[in-house]
Amino acid sequence: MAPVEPLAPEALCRQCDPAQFAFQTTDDLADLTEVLGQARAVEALKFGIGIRRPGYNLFVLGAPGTGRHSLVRQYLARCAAAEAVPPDWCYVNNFDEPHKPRALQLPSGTGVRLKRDIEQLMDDLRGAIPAVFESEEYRARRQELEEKLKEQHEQAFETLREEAEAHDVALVRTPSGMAFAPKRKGEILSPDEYDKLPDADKQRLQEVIAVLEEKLTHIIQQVPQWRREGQRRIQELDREVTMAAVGHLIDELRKTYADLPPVLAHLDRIQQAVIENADDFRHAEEGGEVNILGITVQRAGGGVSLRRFQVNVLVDHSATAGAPVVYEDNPSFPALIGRIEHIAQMGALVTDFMLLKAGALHRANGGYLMLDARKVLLQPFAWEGLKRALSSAQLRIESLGQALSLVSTVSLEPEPMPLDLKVVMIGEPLLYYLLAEYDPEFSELFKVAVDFGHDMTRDPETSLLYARLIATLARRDKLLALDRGAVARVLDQAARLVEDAEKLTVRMREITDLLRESDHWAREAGRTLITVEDVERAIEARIYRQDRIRERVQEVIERGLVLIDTTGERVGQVNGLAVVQLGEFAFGHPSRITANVRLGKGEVIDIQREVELAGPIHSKGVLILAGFLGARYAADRPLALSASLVFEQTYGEVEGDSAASTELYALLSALAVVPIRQSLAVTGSVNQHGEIQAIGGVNEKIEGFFDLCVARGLSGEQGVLIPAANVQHLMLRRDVVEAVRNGRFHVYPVTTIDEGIELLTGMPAGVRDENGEFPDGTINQRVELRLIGLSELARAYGAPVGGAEEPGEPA
Amino acid sequence: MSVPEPIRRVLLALDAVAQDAEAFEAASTLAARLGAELEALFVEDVDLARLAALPFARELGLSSASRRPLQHVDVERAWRVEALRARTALSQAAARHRVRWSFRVVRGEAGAALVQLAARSDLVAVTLGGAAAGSRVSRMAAVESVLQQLPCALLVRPVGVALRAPFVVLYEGTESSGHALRLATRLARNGGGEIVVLLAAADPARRALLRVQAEDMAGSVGMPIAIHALAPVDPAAAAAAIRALRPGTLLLATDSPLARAAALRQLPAAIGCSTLLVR
Repeated sequence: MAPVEPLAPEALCRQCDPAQFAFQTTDDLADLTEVLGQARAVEALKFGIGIRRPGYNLFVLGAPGTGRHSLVRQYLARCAAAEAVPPDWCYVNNFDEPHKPRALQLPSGTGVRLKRDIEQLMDDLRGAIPAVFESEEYRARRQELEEKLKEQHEQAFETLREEAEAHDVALVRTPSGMAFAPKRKGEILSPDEYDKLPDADKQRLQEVIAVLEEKLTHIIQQVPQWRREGQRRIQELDREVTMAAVGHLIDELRKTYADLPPVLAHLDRIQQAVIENADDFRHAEEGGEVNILGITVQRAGGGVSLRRFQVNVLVDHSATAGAPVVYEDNPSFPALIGRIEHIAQMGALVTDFMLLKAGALHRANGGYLMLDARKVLLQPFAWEGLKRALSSAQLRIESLGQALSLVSTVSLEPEPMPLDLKVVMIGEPLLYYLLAEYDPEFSELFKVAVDFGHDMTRDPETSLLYARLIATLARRDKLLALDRGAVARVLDQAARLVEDAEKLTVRMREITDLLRESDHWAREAGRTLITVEDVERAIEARIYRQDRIRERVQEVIERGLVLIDTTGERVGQVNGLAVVQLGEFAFGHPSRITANVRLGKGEVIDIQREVELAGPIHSKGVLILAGFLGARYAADRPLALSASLVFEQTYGEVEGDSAASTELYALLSALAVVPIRQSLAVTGSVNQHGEIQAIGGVNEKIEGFFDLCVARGLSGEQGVLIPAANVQHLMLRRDVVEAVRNGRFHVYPVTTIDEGIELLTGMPAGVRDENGEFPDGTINQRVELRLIGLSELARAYGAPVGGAEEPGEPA
Repeated sequence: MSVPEPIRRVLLALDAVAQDAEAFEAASTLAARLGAELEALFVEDVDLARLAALPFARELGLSSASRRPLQHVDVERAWRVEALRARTALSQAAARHRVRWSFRVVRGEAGAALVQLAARSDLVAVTLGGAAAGSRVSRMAAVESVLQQLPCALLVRPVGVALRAPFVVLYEGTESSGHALRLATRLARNGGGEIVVLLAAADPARRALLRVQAEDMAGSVGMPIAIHALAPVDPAAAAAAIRALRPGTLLLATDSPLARAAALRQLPAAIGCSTLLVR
């Protein structure tokens, strides 16, 4: 097998050559108006906005910082500007059922006008109605009616009294009623006088009194009817007088709103209510609020009652151009659906239609509503409320208590409004997939997925577009222009951020931050252009701000607290490489992996897993090792070893399979009893056929081992084995590249376990000959013989065998 | 023109029917503004006592029309209860206005009792009419016939009406109408309120004279007045004209045509305010 050659320095970092750019600074570049690297997302966005069908709402999925918000907002704003302004919506009192306010749809800008007109009408009525009721005409007519009623009463009693007088009977007022008594010469008879009367007279008097009492009873029973009749006539008079004051004022409004039948109908209802409640206007000046012992109380005047006539402009589009684009930053249930507010009156919470408040759905109705999926899902019942509104295509304001049937106090049931808008939810891909999987309504309501990628292809053409994007961002943020060297360095960093030499990140937030920080350092240095030095400094400064933990980890290795060898050889011990992600900063560091073998039942024990410090992917990688051993070596014999593998001095959970090849190297070394070079570190996953597979974080891992070697002194022997498939991802730091260029450090692309073990041990791996045997003096032969020996031992002991440590050389 | 005697004693006439609170408030206000003593006269009408003693006596409830036997003991109890209630209300109102007061219960014929006590009073306050059915039969009906005979000033107050400003005075140039104007200035000066003088004269020259006299009388005590003309017409038309001025209290002379017996019954209700008749 040909030895694996270390990678050339050029392969370690695909650096952008500034000379490829024709411009000198970004001032020479035009703004980039198109969206870079998101062709699929833009197409989906166009489709989602263009299609006007129920359920075609959009879910924008992508990583934060990819420009989802700004792109969607810009695109929506562009589309919305060309669309019609939606109507205004108002709530008005339902005079028949006050707890069910009516919704009024009005042309945009009309809501506020109607509100003002109604307020003016109320002001006018406050003056006009008391005036007509204070008029002499009204007072005279009312007095006349009251007098008539009174006369009717009095006449009845007077007639009865006169009739009684004619029979020498007096009508006497008693403490709680009336009574008849016989009298003579104007005085009521005393009992003695009465006793002296002849029986016939007594009889006559009693009969007369009985008849008079009947008549009095009849009169008293008629009084309520007379009073009702009198009240009815007074009410008729009031209505007539009120109508005289109201009619012409409302007629003027009828002319103004002649083309709006709902408003006309409401004006009719207002007229009717005003006529029926003219008293409210007559005493309107008594209204308002008073404060009693700190409690605000509505007085029983117009303050309360005239609210019924007001207009609650829920949605006002008088200043809106085109369709609305609303972004709701706090999408709670009430913030989306609207809310019913309450005011305290005498310790009780009361509400009315004027206390209905619009939600984001109201404001965006007829346009577009942008929401953050995570925020919606975090708010209690906001997601359910949103779905219900979208499903029913109706917007019904209700409190959360009502929606959940938690409260049964009297509240409002506002008339629902038709809902016609596009909701654009923006969220991470995981949320999209979880919702799609677990919420059956989601797919019905959000049929359009706008999938934002996080990288784009890197080639000369896209590099130039990227340069224009950098120029655009710099101008937008009023940053210094970048010279082309700086642009090239930003491009390199854009590739590093996606850990791929052939890609560029489209997470523009990170690039924007880099530009801002470079601008800062350029200005600090008194430059008028951002240069490559400024970009480098921005990158280094950012790393420095974040790498305290990395330094600490390296320090404990250098001080020997964590044992990592970078020189010499050891059996069953390999330098693995791990990556630690802390926020947005990731770094690599070496980790010692050791293996031990003995006679056993054919198991590979992962100590990390045994103590539950390994994730499932890591465990899977270890189990693959057993499969590899069983398949490659002594396949016709039982695997009679017990191998234990461990990440030394790790105290947290290990996850990922990038150490699988490392563990296999340690295992092979332990089985073959062949030492491994400690000047090398290894990363890469492996399959059951011994092929090395790509891993993540390759740059950080190499740099992590490199930093340790630099600290201890580069020997020229040190290096890292990486999966060959990861070469395309290499975007290593300049100092690593320089060390490789000077032959002081090496990066080996490995495709198989055999290649790797040869590099690590310096001994050929060995390939089976025509007899199926591994050649002498090869790693594979030593491993196979060891396994056969263990198998023989197991047979000798009588399987199953366990417990005895198997020592020494292979049989 | 003579100066009227000062009013030192106000007599509030009460009967067995429950009084409205304004009766005590108005009388106390009046007494306070005039610096007078207040005496309440509660009359236990002997006619009612006789009626209750009759073997077949029964009453009909004024609102329910139900019939129930009326016994003397019931009437006695009702008098006691009502008298106590009236006394309490009077004491509270008088205390508010810092007025000396007394309460007297008299059994007898209501009119006679009133005339007797009015002889040593300067002003009698009575409540007349009211919205209740049969009010004309009831409230102070027994004393109506004697009101014209009273030797002193008389406040006739409809049920539920307070004594309040503005004080509208019908000035006809007579001595007693002059007394009415002076009484109005005292009421306004001691408690605030506007004075409106109605000059009852058809002849412009006469009206001018009356104006001068009225202004002199009010001006002498430093009280501003507003003056309106009132052509002498029938009582109903005059009442309408007065009502248009929205009077709080109307003051007029007892010898005015408006204060005739027939009109007296109707006037306070017609104009909706208390009427103070001055001799």
